[in-house]
Parts: sequence; C-alpha cells; structure tokens
Amino acid sequence: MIKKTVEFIALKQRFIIAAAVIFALLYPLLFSDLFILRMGTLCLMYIMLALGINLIMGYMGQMTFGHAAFWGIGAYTAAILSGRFGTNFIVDIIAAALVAGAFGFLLGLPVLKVKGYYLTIVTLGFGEIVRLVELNASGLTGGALGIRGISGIRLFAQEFTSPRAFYYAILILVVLTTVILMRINNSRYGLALKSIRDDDSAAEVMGVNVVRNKIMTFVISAMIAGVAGAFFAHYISYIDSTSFTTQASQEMCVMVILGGLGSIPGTMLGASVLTLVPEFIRGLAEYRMLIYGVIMVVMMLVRPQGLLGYTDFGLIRTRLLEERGKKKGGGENNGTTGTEG
Amino acid sequence: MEQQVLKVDHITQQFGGLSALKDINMELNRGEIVGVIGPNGAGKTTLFNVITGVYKPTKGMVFIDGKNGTGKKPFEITKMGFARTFQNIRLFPRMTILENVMMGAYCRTSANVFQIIADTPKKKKEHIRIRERALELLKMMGLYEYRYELPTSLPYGEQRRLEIARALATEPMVLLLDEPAAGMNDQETEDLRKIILMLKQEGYTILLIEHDMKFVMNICERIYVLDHGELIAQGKPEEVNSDPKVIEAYLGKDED
Ligand SMILES: Nc1ncnc2c1ncn2[C@@H]1O[C@H](COP(=O)(O)OP(=O)(O)OP(=O)(O)O)[C@@H](O)[C@H]1O
Ligand SMILES: [Mg+2]
Repeated sequence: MIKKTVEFIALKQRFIIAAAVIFALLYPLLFSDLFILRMGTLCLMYIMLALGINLIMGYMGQMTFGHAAFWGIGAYTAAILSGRFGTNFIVDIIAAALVAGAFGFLLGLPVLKVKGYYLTIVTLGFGEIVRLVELNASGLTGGALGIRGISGIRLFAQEFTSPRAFYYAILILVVLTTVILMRINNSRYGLALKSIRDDDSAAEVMGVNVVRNKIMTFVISAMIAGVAGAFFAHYISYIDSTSFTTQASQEMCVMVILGGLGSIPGTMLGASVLTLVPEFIRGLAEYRMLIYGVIMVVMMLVRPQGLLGYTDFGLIRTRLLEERGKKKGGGENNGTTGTEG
Repeated sequence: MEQQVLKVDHITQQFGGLSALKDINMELNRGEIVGVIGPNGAGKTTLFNVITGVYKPTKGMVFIDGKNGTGKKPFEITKMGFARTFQNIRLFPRMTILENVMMGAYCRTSANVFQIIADTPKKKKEHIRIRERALELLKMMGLYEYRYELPTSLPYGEQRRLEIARALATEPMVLLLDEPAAGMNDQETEDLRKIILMLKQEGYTILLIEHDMKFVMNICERIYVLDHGELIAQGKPEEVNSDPKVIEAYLGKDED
C-alpha cells in the first residue's frame, strides 16, 4: 500500500509539484479570511526555516539546537536597519543573510574540534548566548522591550503592508530556498554532504575537505534562517527576544524530524503539520511541547529518519521508468531488476 | 632509473608506547604491483594510513611523486593521485551505488558554491561528466545493473569491487588496496585477480596488502614483509617465500 502510494507520487511528481505551486499562488485569492492567510504565511516561514535546518541535519547529518538564534539575528538586523536607516526590503534581506551567515561561520568554527553530542551542546549554548545578548544589549535591541513599529515591506518606493503582500513575499523566498536546496542536492556539494553524513573520515579519504564543507553548510543554513528572520520582523512588526528561544529551535528540529531528514517535501509536510495542527485545534495549543516530545520519541523509535526521510522521489521515478522501458524492450535481465534489497 | 611514485623514508609511527611502524623504508615505481604482507597487527594498515595522511607519522617522510606528502590531509593526498580501499569496507551506506562511485570523482570537480546555486553550464557539465565516468566504472566492475541500489544490498565480494570502483573514480596514479580478497570465495578471488591484472595493464600502480599468500605470490612483482612494525624482508616473491625470517614470523603467529 505505502509502496504503491510512494511510487504513484514519484511517477506523478511533476504534476503534483505544478498543482502545489498553483495552489500556493491562488491561496490568498481562494481564502480571504485573515486567520487562514496568516496560517499560510507562518507555514511558509517555518518551511523556510526547516529547509535551512534540514541542510545541516538531513543532508550533513549533524545536530543543531540553536537555529532560532540565526532567525533572531536576521530579525534584529532587519528591524534595526530599516528602523534607523529606512532601508528597503531587499537591503534588509541581504544584510540579514550576511550578518546571520557571519555568525554561522563563527558557530561553524568549533565544528573543527567537536562532533556529535558536543556539537549539539555548543549550538544549544550559542542559542542561549545570542538570546541573552538580545535581551540585554538595550542600546541596540531595545532589551526586554524589544523593537516596535517595524515597517512593512519597503520596495520600489512603496511600503506594502497587506497580508497578501507578505504572503507572496514569503512564498517567493520559500521557492528560492527550495531551488537552492535542490541544486545543492544535485551537485558535488550534495555528494560531499551526504558522504560526510554517512562516514566523515571515509569522506575525507575520498577527497572531501570535511571542515570546509561543514562550515560552509552552517553559513548557508544560517543565512536562510536570517532571511526568514528579516521577513518575520517586518511581518509581525514587533520583535523581542522571547521569540528566538531554544524552544523555538527545538520546534524547528521537530518539524524536520517528523517530516523527513534529507527530504524537501518531507520538510514541507512536517513544518506545515506542526504549524497548523496546534493552531486549528485550539485545545491542543497548551500541550504543544508535550505533543512535540511525544512525536520526537515515537519517531526516534519507529521511523528515525522521519515520514519521508531519505525518500528520493526522483530516484524512484528513474528506477520505475527504467524498469518499464526494459519490459517493453524485450525484458532482458528481468529477474534482477525490481527486487527490493 | 624507473619513475618513482612513492617513497616512504624512515617512517616511525607510535601510538603511546606502542611502535606500530619502526623506521620503515620502501618505494614504489610507476606501473608496479607491490605487495605488503605480514601477520596480524604487523602494521600494514597503519602504513597505508600514514601514506594516505590519516595519521601523521611520528618520524620520517613520505614522498608522493617526488613531492613531500608528509602531514598532508587525506583529501590532499587523494587529489595528488593516491586512492585507497579499506580493510573493513567503508562504503557510504545511505548513498546509492552510483552516488558512491560519483563521490570518488568529487576531487576531480571544481564548481564552487555560487556556480552550484546559479546552476551554471560548467557545473552541469562536470556533474554529467562524473556521472558518466561512474557508470563506466560500474560497467567495468560488473555492478551497473545495481546502480540505484544501496551498497548494503550487495554481497561482500561485490562491495569490495565497488570500493575499487570508487577508488578508481578519483583518477588515481596509485591504488592502495587493503586486503581486497578478504572474505571472498575462490571464484570472487579469481575475478579480483583478473581485475587487478587488467588495472596493471591500464597503467595503474598498485600497492596491495594481503593475507592470502598464494594470491600475493601470484600477482605481485615485489613484496615487503612487515612484522611487529619492522620491515623484516623485501624482494621477489620467491626470495621472500624462502626467507627464514619470514617463515618464522608466519609460523610463530599463524599456526595457533
Ligand atoms: N589508531 C590507533 N591507536 C592505537 N593503536 C593502533 C592504532 N591503529 C593501529 N594500532 C595498533 O598498531 C598495530 C598495527 O596495527 P595495524 O592495523 O596496522 O595491523 P595490520 O598489519 O593491518 O593487521 P591486520 O592484518 O590485522 O589488519 C596494532 O597493534 C594495532 O593495535
Ligand atoms: Mg590491517
């Protein structure tokens, strides 16, 4: 049953992607309700964050529990820049990416020395330090009061503040992130990441500069989170350090773990489910962390790679098409293909 | 004089109080097949690890194609033209067989992250190139039809062949094979022998660790014998075979 479904999705993936894109484009026109629009926007923002984390967790196989820090750094960068200098959205995004990327580089450096659990602790500590700085550096960040009255999206000498404008802005960012991830996945860099995940010392012997690739991945992932943060600041127009906590980092990790390590559609699924379910089932919101805990434990036991983890629809499609081609072409080698290992 | 591709110069490797290698000298000329034998724990794998940059030797130097390779990182040594296989097979378990071999060609690609994100023609071309090369190697090793499977689905002997394919994808000048016939049945060993002879014909230089004496004697032109980290003999297979020190080392260890 499951196998059939997966194969069906794999074969029809172009159609499904096209349908999803069209749906995403029409979404604000189909649903005029503000709450629904807000849910869609938040969903997309979490998808972006989770995609960035998946680069580290799914593709490279390292843990990171401090990702909300980059999100926060991007948000503060955009809020401070646009508040003080009236910069436009593009400038904010680029600045947020650069600043978050620089911090990603700093966090990436200890990767030279630490692995596994130690890395997890380092990222956790990093997240807390950044939050404390945000809370206490009042001159820059407004301290506990945060930053209020952040502008809408300034672009082409206009300011866009409508919910629809925000929805389309984040949709564009998510599409860009997805394209970047797909291209990385299908490149020498993707090969390097997967080999590091599987066996980093063998990867080094096979020619991969492991340290450099790890740092680069931290930087790219941090940049993605930073851009999502810049969007977030403009979107909710008020930020303080309570948004960018370790708890937020953990939520992002759970999205990836539920949806699927190393899978783009899986990440989208996980982020959507975990954003929407607690919001729509109001009674559940209070039990959010409990639910996340249960999901973590169950997934670790039953399917540690996540629902769609390491399911490569492109590969499944190639295989299926090739098998069919073979059957048509006279059926040579029939006994050896199509057997599951 | 023949062209020297590897020179191991007075190498000593210590682990705490244990000397895994003591003052080892050896060399390898282009086109040769040379064996390294010795009882368990003799230091054979350690020698490979020193050559390929996994360990930094306590003393001594390694010269690769005339250039100093001492203390270089493994990925740099691979780029200089040395590729290896592992005694305990180390394929990438969650990458397909095709990806495993493509991974070997990684060091012969150069697209940077900007070119990758922009998906430039250069990046596309080189990715297609390594894919095609990998498929060729899989055909050569008789693994082509399994290319989309995971390496764990292969029987042992074929996993070893896959490791050789992955090493070949790095476009090496020298192949270092660490007990390639270990765990293989007679048929698989015979296939391996043919593959190694074919590789020699294609001009590869091969350094081979092996326990199976018959296999080594059959295939190698010269042999180095290690015991307790010391080089106790070297020379042609017949010479080494009748060397009393070698016989003693083997009788003293293996016949228990
Ligand atoms: N990283 C290490 N740390 C400490 N000791 C090591 C290390 N690597 C190898 N040794 C020791 O060095 C000695 C030589 O080991 P090595 O693996 O080179 O032997 P070998 O000749 O390859 O043996 P085998 O035939 O069993 O593969 C052994 O005593 C081993 O325990
Ligand atoms: Mg060994």
